[in-house]
Amino acid sequence: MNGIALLVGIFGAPLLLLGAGRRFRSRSRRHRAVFWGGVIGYGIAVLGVNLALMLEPVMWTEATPLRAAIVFWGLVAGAGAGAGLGALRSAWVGGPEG
Amino acid sequence: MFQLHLWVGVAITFLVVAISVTGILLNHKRALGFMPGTDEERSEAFAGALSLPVLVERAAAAVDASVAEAGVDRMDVRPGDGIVKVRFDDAEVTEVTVALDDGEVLAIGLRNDVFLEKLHSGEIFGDGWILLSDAAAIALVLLLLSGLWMWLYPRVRAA
Repeated sequence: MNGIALLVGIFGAPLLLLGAGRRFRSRSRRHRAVFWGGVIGYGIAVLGVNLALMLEPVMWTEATPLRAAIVFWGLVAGAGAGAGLGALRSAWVGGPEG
Repeated sequence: MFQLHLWVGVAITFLVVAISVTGILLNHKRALGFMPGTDEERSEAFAGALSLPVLVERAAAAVDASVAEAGVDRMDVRPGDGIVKVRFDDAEVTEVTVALDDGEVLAIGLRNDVFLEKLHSGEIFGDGWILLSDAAAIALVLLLLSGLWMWLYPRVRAA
């Protein structure tokens, strides 16, 4: 399960965001907010996961489960959380669609 | 061609960042202190070297029992320096540097560069994950070729 999450995080999430960014101008405000939330969330996750991977650069063990969780799930969670926050913000701000 | 360049580039964002950073860290592994070591050299020590089992015994005595029980992964004998580096097979990759002639323990530490090497290759995630760095390498070649094509093609047509 961890491996699948990592693969989806590495390849699936950015490709999904790239797909969501197509015909961007004709998309609804909510769609654009979700897209930007996902992009920003994924960008932060890339930095966070790299930091978790390499700081400090010692082999992770069973004694460091949080580190492994961040590494395997961070990218998916980052993109998902960002997109979710984008959708929430869009609903919160309101206003006309388009 | 632009679409190929775009999709491949986006797909390997994380891999390129991780592989680049680990590559830079590995290039400077000594300066950054990722390898335990010593500057001590005993150029004449090789002639009167202790046997390998004795040297392993000395190294094992210098580390925790749990590390010693993991066994020796490899030994790196440096005849010119008069030392041997005994690397244990524990999860954290402990290494002990021992003098060849009298078995004195000169340095103990973790080989954190091994962790970085495994991260660089993808091996850290398990067997088969080495394909991840292969995929990144192939993708980089594709990016290079597609980028070159996009730059060159309009000029060839105009000529």
